[in-house]
Amino acid sequence: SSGSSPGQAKKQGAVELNLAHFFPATHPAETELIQPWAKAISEATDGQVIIKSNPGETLLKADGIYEGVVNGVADIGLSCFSYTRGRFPVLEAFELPGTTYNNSKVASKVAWEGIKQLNPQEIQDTKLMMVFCTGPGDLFTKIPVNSLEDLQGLGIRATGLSADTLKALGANPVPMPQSDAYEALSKGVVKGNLSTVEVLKGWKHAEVTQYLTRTPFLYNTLFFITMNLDKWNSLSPENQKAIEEVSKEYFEEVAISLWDKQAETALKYAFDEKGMKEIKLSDQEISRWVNLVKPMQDDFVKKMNEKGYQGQQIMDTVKSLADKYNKEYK
Amino acid sequence: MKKLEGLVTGLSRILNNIAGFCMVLVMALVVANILLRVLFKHPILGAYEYVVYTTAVMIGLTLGYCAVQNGHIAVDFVVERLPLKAQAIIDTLINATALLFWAACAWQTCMHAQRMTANGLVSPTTQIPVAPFIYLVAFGLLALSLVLLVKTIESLRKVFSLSSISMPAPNVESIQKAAVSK
Amino acid sequence: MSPLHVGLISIIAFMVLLMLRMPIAYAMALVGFAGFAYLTSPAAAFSMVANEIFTNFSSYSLGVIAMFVWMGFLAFYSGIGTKLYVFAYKLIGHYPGGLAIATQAACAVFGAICGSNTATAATIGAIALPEMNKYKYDVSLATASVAAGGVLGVLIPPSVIFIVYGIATEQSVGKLFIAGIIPGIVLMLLYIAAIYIITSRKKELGPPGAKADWQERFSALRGGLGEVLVIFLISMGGLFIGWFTPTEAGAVGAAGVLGVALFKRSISWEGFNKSLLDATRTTAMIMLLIAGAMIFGRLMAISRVPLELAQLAGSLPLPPFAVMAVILLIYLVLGCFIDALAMILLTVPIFYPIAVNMLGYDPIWFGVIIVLTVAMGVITPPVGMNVYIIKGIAPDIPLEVIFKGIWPFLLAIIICLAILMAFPQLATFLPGLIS
Ligand code: NA
Ligand code: NA
Repeated sequence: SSGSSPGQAKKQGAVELNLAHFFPATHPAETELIQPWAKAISEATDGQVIIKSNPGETLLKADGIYEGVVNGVADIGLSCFSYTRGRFPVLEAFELPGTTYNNSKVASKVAWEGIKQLNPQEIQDTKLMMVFCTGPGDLFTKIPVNSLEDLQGLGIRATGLSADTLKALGANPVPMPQSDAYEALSKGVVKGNLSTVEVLKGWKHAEVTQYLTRTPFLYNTLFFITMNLDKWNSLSPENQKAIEEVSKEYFEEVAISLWDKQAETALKYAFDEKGMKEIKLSDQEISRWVNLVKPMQDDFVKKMNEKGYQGQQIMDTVKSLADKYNKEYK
Repeated sequence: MKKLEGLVTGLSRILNNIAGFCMVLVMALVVANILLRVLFKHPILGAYEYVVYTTAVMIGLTLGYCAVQNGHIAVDFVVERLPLKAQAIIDTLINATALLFWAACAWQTCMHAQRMTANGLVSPTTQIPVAPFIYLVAFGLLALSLVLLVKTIESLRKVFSLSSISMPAPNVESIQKAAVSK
Repeated sequence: MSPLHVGLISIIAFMVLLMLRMPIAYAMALVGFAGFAYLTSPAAAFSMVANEIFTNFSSYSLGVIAMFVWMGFLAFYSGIGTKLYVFAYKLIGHYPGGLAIATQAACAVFGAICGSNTATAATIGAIALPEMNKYKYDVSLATASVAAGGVLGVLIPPSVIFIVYGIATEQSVGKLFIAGIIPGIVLMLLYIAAIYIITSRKKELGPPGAKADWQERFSALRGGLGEVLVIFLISMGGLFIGWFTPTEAGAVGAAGVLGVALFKRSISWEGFNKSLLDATRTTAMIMLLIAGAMIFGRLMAISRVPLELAQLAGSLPLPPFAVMAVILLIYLVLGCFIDALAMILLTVPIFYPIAVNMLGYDPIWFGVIIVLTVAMGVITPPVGMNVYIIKGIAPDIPLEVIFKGIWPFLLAIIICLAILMAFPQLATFLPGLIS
């Protein structure tokens, strides 16, 4: 449950940190990552640092979390970089379509290591503790999508970068919040959704869609856990070190595989309980799709160059890390 | 004083008219988007974002005129049993507090918009800048503060004009009169 | 001072400001800000307030309220609402309280299009209140019946509260929607019974008219109700066929009413302007209230008052039935101060495991119970969003007059809860069929 974790005894002079995120209190991000991680930090700092979680947007709305941490509304925040578009221009490189991520482990390793290498200006106003990813997303639809032709003019719910992706593929992106998508899918206002398969179970989209087309080159979302800079600097060097070590451990052991595990249970639910059908595109078909979204990466490089960044270098970093980790985690 | 009332009421009326236009615009946008989507399979990509931001501006710009019409509801039944002078004193304090609070909020919302500009925040899908809409909401809060300034002055004047013995209450607040006579 | 103390003192401060005639939205925002500033820092609190104001004003799911409200005022100023009520009056106006009964049916039908309790109350209120006033219905009864009728908007699908509950607990939103149908109808019937009983005993509360013959009824029906039927069919049909989402239905409804009014030349330029003026004012009032409630909710979140209460309930050494009663009591108390959606988000994560995992209650049934209990909060004093909205539509009526009329309806909800406790099948039967 939310709130103070059991087993955290408050010490005299202990620091209490409010953590804000948007996942429901029952979500694995809370139960398997945030709660155990907070408990481990409390133990590692000998009860001097206590983290209190506020899940389900009770403290901050998803798109206000990063800014809220900068301004001290929350001490720590967990959310997505892409909820505030334009705020993190460099990090968009990790979510661009056209890069294949085998799974969330690959995507998470690429993002976290890439961010450390690039160290962009846009994240210097907080203490970034961890970045992990959903990894690939898929198309789930009410009618089978076997080829590009099936996708032409099809109304698919997508926002932000994914809307651009679908447009490039010839579909009709319909932006709406995830909370509206269930109703819209159920009545056929939109015919599909491009998202991680976790949504099939978490948001019950398997109840209202029948087909799942695998598209591991179209989608990725980065999550951050970050701390208010003043709060971080107020901690003793020993506590800082302890927190960094715990975070490193939880990144490797829990965070990077969080979405893979969810995908597994969601797919089991979708296929076994809801009878969804899986569609795998042929290699030839995949290259047709990738060719259509590749220009988005070129656009990115051009735009970043115009803004004075090393556009190509950023893209190359992502590419080479993706190659490296796709080999490591099949 | 009368001049200030007239100015503030006039300003909030103009803002409210713009808000009414926003209301029509939102309806037209949603309906046009549905028609384009159903009939031509070509929805307006930014419809959702335009609707959301136009609605925010509509609400923001109405705040002031809503206050002019005493539209922000309050619980009357305790204070209205007190002597008129006590009522006027309480109203002065409450109006002044609200004035300070919303003026500070207007200013802070401006700061918020300024930070969003500096951060380069754009809407998720069509990538239009968000800050201008936040500025407009801040402007609406400023209009609300101005209305509260007039109300504070008005209730303060009552404190001095009323003797401690209660006398018949004036039916209509001057600010409402100004709103009607315009 | 501990966060918990700050939370409790803030509730008291809020009550004091309320009694001193500070507008409710201001009081919630101000106290929420002050408490938050004390527990974090003024800079953080200002950032929180500025962010809450803009995020709530620009919320897609809340923005729909504006369109439904405008639709209601358009129906009023174009005379379509009057025609509806003339027909209803000819049909059942000879029964005591007939129009208030018709209003409940209107809320239930409208609830099938609209997923929000506030929007249902505002839309039906804009149409129904002037009409019931015309037929000399008691103000308290008329206003309270619309405020309470709004609850049908979230019990009958679609429903924002069921969606939020479904996501917070990982339950099927579809099943929850279906589960709400029978309890929604039961509640409507209980409302109708309540109205009938009180108006039969005191006829002047809802004076019965002369009984109209069928010819009069048909002429009332021909007098322009065909268009209403068309608008309704388009809205319902469009929703079911999948032309648009429930969130878009408000704009479709407003456009439909405006189209009919223009076609029939039944709305003047002045009437059109007035509808806009009233709709913007009412929307701004509602949205500032919601923003205020959210700001206050943020303070509640970091002060952990709801959390402590919930943990207290979970630790009581009582039989399941009594623990359930305590949970409902806590919802009733919290519902007096916290807005419905904020309350679901704050409390369901704590109560759900207690009710479902520990006590073994059915999760879908618990969802219906929670929606009903939370819905009670929107009509109970001092913070009752639906009552505030009715007050916004009928500014001359004192709040306490509306709250005075709420009791029979509150009793109806409590009876509905008791029925659901005794016969859980009422909520679980339909969803059981689809699995
Ligand atoms: Na409904
Ligand atoms: Na209440």
